[in-house]
Amino acid sequence: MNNDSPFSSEYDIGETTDIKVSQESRDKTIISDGIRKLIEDDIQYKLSKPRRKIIRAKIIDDKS
Amino acid sequence: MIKVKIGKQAKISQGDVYKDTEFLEYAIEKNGIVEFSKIVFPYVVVLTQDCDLNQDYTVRWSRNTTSNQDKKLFSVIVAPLYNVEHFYVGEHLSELNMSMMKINKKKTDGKKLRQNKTPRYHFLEFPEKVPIIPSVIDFKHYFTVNVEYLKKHKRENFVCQLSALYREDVSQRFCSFLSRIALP
Repeated sequence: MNNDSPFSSEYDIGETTDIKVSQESRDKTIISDGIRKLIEDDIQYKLSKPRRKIIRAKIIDDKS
Repeated sequence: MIKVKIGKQAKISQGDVYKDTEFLEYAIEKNGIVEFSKIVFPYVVVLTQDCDLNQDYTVRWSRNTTSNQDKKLFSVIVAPLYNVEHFYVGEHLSELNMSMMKINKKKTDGKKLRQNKTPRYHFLEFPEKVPIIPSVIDFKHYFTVNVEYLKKHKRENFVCQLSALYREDVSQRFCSFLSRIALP
């Protein structure tokens, strides 16, 4: 888990998703504009609130 | 609707609004691992008196040297601004796992809030040229920030400054809130 991230868990965009597969390439999955907007709005919603960031660092002995 | 100044000065001023300001919750070291916890507030407003900020600026950064550091500040008082729509439903601190009191925006408590008749809070509606939606300052959540950090932070994160009467109104209400006395 990346504790530096303002959101600490994988996104849950709901029980149903609307993922369109490009007709041009079946290997690519294109997230529909609607879902992208939902995700962006969700990010903005969370970023507009105070959020905690935890940073950890290991002390390395200076042996010089 | 309040009035603001968009122009930026180098010096920190009362009424300055900054984005993404960090508050250091704690810093601990255990078994060779250092852990810092910071809370990032989307918007804060500076509450420290302007005369104190002016004098601190002179001591630190003016070309005229002072004979002592008597007027130097250690930190600046700020308070967070919360999105009023989140605030009404008590969800403005949900990312910190804090559930807050709800205020019904259509009833008396909501009206009193917007009329700035609730001592703990100060409601601000910004003009259209400022990218902040109507917000509420919670005086109870004031904290302090290191002066030098805030001056550097201002360069990229200054949003606006509340105009003269509006910042004085906030300052006066903040002082009243701090000096309140609860009688039995």
